[in-house]
Order: sequence, then C-alpha cells, then structure tokens
Amino acid sequence: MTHNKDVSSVMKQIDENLRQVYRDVETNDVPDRFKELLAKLKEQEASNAK
Amino acid sequence: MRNDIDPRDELVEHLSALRAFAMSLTRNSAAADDLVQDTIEKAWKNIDKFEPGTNLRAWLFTIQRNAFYSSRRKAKREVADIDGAMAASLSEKPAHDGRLAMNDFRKAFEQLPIEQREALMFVGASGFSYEEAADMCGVAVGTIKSRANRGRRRLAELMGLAEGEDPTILDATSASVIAAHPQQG
Repeated sequence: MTHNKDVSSVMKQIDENLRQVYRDVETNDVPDRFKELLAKLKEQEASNAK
Repeated sequence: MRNDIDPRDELVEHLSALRAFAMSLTRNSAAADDLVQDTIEKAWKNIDKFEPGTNLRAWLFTIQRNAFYSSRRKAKREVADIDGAMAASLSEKPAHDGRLAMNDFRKAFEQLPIEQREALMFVGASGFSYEEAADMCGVAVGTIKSRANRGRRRLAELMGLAEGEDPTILDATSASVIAAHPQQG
C-alpha cells in the first residue's frame, strides 16, 4: 500500500533527523572540564591507593 | 576482581554521547553539563557495579537518567529553556544545506514530553534496541515502542510531514496542500 510506504518513509526520515541531531551534539568538542574531572578522579584514586 | 581492562579508562569515549543525551533531557546546556559531571562522578564511584563485557554506554545512560530524575524530583522546578538551548547552541554553526530544517526539527523535538524524548534518544538516535532501552528506563518493551512511535508521529506532525491519523494526508496532493497552508488543520 502506498500509504504505508509513505508512512514508513516519513518515519525513516524522522529517525535520520534524530541521528543527525545526536551526531551534531556528539561532534561538538567535549569541554575540558570533563577531561579535567576524569584526570582529577584518577589522581585521587592513585593517592588513595598509596 | 579483574583488573585487565579498567572501564574507567573508557569513560572519556562516552562523554560526547552523555552530553547529547543530557541535552535531550534538560534542553539547557548549562544544566546538561552539570548532569554529565554528576554522572561521571557517580559512575567513577560505582564502577565496581559495572559488569565487564556489558554495554558501558547503556550503563552510563542509566546512571545519567536516574541522576536526572532524582534531581528533578528534588528541584521540582522546570529548568528547561523554552526557546530551545539545544537549537540555539547549535545554530551558531555555519549554515549549509538542511541546517534550517534541522533547527526546526530540534525545536520540535524539544516540545515532546520527556518520556518520548528519551525513548527516541535511545532507539532513534543512539541505536539501542527496544529491549535495551526498556531495560535502561525500567519499563516494558511495549511501553518504549509506543513512546517512540508516538514521539515519531508527533515529530512528523510538527514538521508538517504528516497530519495526525488521517491516512489520506500523505498522498502527493494533500501533502502539497499542507505544505502550502501549514497552519491548516
């Protein structure tokens, strides 16, 4: 049925847009604060282990 | 205790995905970054609860989701940026083909109820299965399917790609009528 085919193509378009939104955010640079946080946590871990 | 691979060393690979998911939950970039920070700290502290060999990203998303809902319950106030922080922060990129439509799409996405946003983030955007998404949200698979499908239909409506349940609307003639008169209906 044409109608079903159209509906599924609209839904495919929606999912493609969703993936694109996600990719756009994902390719933005991760702020340094998170890398610094990970480094800090790792450092604390190391000093606790001593 | 196995020590061969430390999942903590892999957290960095999931930061972007966590930010994307946080943005879809909070719709506000400052709140999203605070949520990601909270998630990293919780994940680090509870890393022994992560089962090696299972999906780390799913585990992190679950932590983030729980953190979001518990802080939302505490705050009991709407922190969402109604005008769409996600759209605003991304529209600074140089415009090229499709960019305008993508901004409209983001704004439409931000209007969805939160259950539909997270269902679509899991199964539509990040490619988790319905089963995995159901697991992360702690609901039945059918619930995730229906949330995702309602979300998709609503997005299609908001984007003028479809109109409600009317099965005739998607034929070429009706579609062009809708396109010419977007406020109709």
